[in-house]
Amino acid sequence: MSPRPLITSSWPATRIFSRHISRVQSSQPPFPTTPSCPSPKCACAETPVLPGGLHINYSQPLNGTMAPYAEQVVICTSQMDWKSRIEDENDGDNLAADLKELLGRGGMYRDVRLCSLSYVKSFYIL
Amino acid sequence: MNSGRNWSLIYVILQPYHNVSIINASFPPSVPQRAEVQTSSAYLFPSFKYIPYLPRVSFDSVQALVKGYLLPTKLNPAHDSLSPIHRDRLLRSKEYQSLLYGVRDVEDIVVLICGHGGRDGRCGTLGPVIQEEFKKALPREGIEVLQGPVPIRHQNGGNTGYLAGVASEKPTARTGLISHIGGHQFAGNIIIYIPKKAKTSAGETHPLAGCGIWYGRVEPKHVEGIVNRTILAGEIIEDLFRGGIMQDGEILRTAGNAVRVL
Repeated sequence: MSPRPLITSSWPATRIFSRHISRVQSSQPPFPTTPSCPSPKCACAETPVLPGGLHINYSQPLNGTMAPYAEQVVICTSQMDWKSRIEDENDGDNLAADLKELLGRGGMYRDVRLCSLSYVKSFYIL
Repeated sequence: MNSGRNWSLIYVILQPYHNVSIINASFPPSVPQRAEVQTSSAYLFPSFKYIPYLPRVSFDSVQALVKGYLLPTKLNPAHDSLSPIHRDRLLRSKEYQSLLYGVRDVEDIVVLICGHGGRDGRCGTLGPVIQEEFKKALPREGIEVLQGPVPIRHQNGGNTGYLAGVASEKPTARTGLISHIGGHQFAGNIIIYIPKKAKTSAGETHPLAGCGIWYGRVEPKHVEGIVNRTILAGEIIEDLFRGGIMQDGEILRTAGNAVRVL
């Protein structure tokens, strides 16, 4: 499913308020963290060279780049790779296409997202 | 901050609305009892459910999956103006769960690695290398990496269970390549789902039990550290952390110098 830009970190309000919201929610103890990944002790594979012209973004902070979701459906396909749009696999006859038909844009259960989105938007404008 | 009331209002509005992420994985589906029936299998996270059989012959099983497991259990207050019939249509209904056979809890550590080369060369190049690294690093720490379809024991009464010997005290993991989850520029992208009953290597309750942790900019050299710090010790590695989700759907972010519920 495509990311929802309004709720990711690209939405300024999320960034501005997230720290304050965390304070409001501080009854939950924070999770144990470690600042960075320890160096490996065992031999490991070299990082492969990326195809021409493709780069990794090392400048943008990673925190907040996960688009929030309520549930993730992980479909077992036995394949190691897929078409760019997974719903196009097998000429459109696949479970991902069926689920997106019901839950995606224009689907009979889509209202959940559309209504909420307009709700957020109206607040943001106010 | 001028009043607590305003902030609580903002909190309600920033609650993520009900978004369902649908991705493909390289895991093989469970083998149905009648081999001629074409079925799919699917994992649900953070519900930590495995649905072994979704017959492809009809749309009924897809409807049962959506109505029984994917729709929200309560609606956003924005839906208060809808008619009761309309609201019911958008809510989860437990009766549909019984239409799906053999559903069970996920008890393996599940490591998902974006390897969607058909969409972007970065994850397509890095994903398989990172997966191989996990397959080597996990057994070194005593975690068995399971391969092949999830076995389902078929019983006469229609109930299902594990094959004998599968449910053991030793932690087990499955690693799979997955399709696009957003953020190819942050490849390698991985998601680690820690099962609800997980323990740390010290035998204590795992701090991340029932959580999904998203990491980005992962390279093969990070895999050993991820296994040790996050999978075994339950610590979130801050400089790889993209976000996370708890079992009840709450979203985790880095806030200040700690990781908290958003």
